[in-house]
Amino acid sequence: MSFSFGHPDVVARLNGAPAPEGSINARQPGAILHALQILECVARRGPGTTASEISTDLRVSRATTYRLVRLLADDEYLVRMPDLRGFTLGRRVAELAAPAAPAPHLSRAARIALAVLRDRVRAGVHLVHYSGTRIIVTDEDTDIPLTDPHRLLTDPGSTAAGRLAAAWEEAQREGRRPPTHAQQVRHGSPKRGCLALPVPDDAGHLVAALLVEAPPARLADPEELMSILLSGVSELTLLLT
Amino acid sequence: MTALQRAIAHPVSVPGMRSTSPVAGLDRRSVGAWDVLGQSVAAAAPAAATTTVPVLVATSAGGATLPAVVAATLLALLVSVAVNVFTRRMAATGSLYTFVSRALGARAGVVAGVAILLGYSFIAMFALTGAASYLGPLAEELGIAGVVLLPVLALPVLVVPLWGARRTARVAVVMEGASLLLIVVLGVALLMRTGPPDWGGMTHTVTAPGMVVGTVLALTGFVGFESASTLGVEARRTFTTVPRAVTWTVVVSGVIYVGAVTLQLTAFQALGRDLGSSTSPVNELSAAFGPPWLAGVLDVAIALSFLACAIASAVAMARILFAMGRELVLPEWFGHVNRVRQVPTVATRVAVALIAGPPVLAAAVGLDLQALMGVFIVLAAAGFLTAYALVCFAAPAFARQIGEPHPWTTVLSWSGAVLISASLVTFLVLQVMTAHAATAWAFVVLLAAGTGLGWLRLARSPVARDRVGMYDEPTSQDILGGDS
Repeated sequence: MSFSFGHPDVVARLNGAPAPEGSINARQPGAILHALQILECVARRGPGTTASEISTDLRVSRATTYRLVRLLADDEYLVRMPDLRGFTLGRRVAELAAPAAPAPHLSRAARIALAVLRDRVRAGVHLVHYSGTRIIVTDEDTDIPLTDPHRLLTDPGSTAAGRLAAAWEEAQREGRRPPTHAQQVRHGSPKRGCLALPVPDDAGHLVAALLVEAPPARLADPEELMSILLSGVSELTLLLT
Repeated sequence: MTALQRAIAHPVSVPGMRSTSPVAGLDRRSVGAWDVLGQSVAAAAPAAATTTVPVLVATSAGGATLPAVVAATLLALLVSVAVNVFTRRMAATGSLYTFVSRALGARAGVVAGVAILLGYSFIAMFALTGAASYLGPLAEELGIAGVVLLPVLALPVLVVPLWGARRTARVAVVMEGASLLLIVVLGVALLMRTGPPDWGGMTHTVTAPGMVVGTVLALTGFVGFESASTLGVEARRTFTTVPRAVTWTVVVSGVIYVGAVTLQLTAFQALGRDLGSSTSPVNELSAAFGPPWLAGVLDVAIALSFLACAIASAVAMARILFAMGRELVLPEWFGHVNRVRQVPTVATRVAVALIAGPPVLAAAVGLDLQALMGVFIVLAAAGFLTAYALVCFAAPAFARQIGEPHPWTTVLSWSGAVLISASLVTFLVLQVMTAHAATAWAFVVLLAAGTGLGWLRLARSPVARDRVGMYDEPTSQDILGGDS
């Protein structure tokens, strides 16, 4: 977990040096540096840092600050506090510091098992792992890639994999039987829907999930798909845990 | 180690965050930038308004027609500046209702809410009746009775908004886009026949009353441009796409109206007639300059634009009713969301019933639909102007409250507030002095009754009082250090 904003000017300005003449605005590459400085500033000041405070701290004009915090909020790196006054860091900033390749190593046997599954179901078959609250794509189908991999990071709760994790947690908390699958089908969507099957370890914790993306019509009655997939999932469970 | 690294490694706990958003159930961040723009453009319906706005303005403004349209565009831009103070900072479904509630308190919010609901419902009734009147001749040829036509047209207005935010917006974009494309192509074709406008030959006598009235009437062509803000929760990259949609709708509509007015003035001059004396300029021009089949095509295109407007207005209205339901200002079931389609189904059905009911009933008892359209547009314009004035007052207050003041937006918002308030008063006084006196009073009564009921509800329910101004608040899952 190592990264730095190595540019000496930036470091100097973080330490309070005045802004150079002809200060940069949000349309220039300097905006990226400013954006990182803003995150740094909110991290230093803590939850509830206001745009005025950021503007004063970084000696950036208010208009530029407003524009940059809006862009950062659009991508949820910054989140406005419930009273709309001030900001706090969004969960997404954790991605900035996440190790480049957190995906667990996949054994050859597991890769072969996935390849066999892909041949049999004729749909996009992907493997994801759960790491804390994050969902990491471990093995993506190269022939039929994920329709919206970005959403797994930005809005996991609305994906099949995220729904599966939530349902799994809830079932464990309430002592019910864990769910057999979770689905995400957008009604009438031209995009593909997604089916997620759990891969638990011996202790019953959800380790990974097998995602199958197929047209909504095929997912409307998942029994046929499930019968093919379940054997594959039990094989993967042995290979992954 | 930088502060950011520390914060990521050991997040500071941020207590007091909700675990679910108060608008949970909607399809968050699913509608793309073009569809968000489409919602606003469809609600403003510039294609259909090219048939109504220029002639309406010309009748009152005379020589000041073009300056009045330009002035209305600038006024609408001032309002968009005020609206965007909010859309850049909060994702809400209640649009101006929520914005005013946040900045000026629940009671002012209720006034804005009732006003904007009156605006959307009456503009949708106007559009629905307009679609029926343009499709009337075609329907007659096909053997469809006029009484049946309105309920048939109301059907898509009910069905399409239930398909889900993204698909609804897409349908509205395609309808309005097709209509707009045809109108622009015909406009260019017409310009090639008439040649460039001859400004010297036109009258340019500008009178102050004519200019004021013309500007207010031209503003009716823009109303609805703020409706993208009702998709705040459902839009992707909402803090960028929604403000952009609001501003661009005003710019696009303004350019189209300036073009349409110039063209219609030029063409009528070529015919040796006065635009203000025409009843249906676009149809008269197509009869004078175009082939005979063109009239039918134009009727369908304009009806499409009107229908898109009705659909977009129903969507916007449903989102505001939904917000009021979740806040318990309205009964709780207004806040119900269908799990599969992720749209507020109950609020949508109620909105459509309110929109379709009056025109269908009026057609059934045989009222004059043209006269009725005149009543609807006056009620809608008054509703929108009231809400616009309030949001212009609210924007600087809101910016101050959240500690993000901005001198330019403050100046522009205040100018908007003063000018829109003056326009509203002028408009109402003018209606009282002319044939529409009863309509103007009806607006005052409707606004007062709705506000009264809303205030009563606020007085009785502390929960509702507390919840007003609800928006898509961040949850503990969204932030670093939220207790989940």
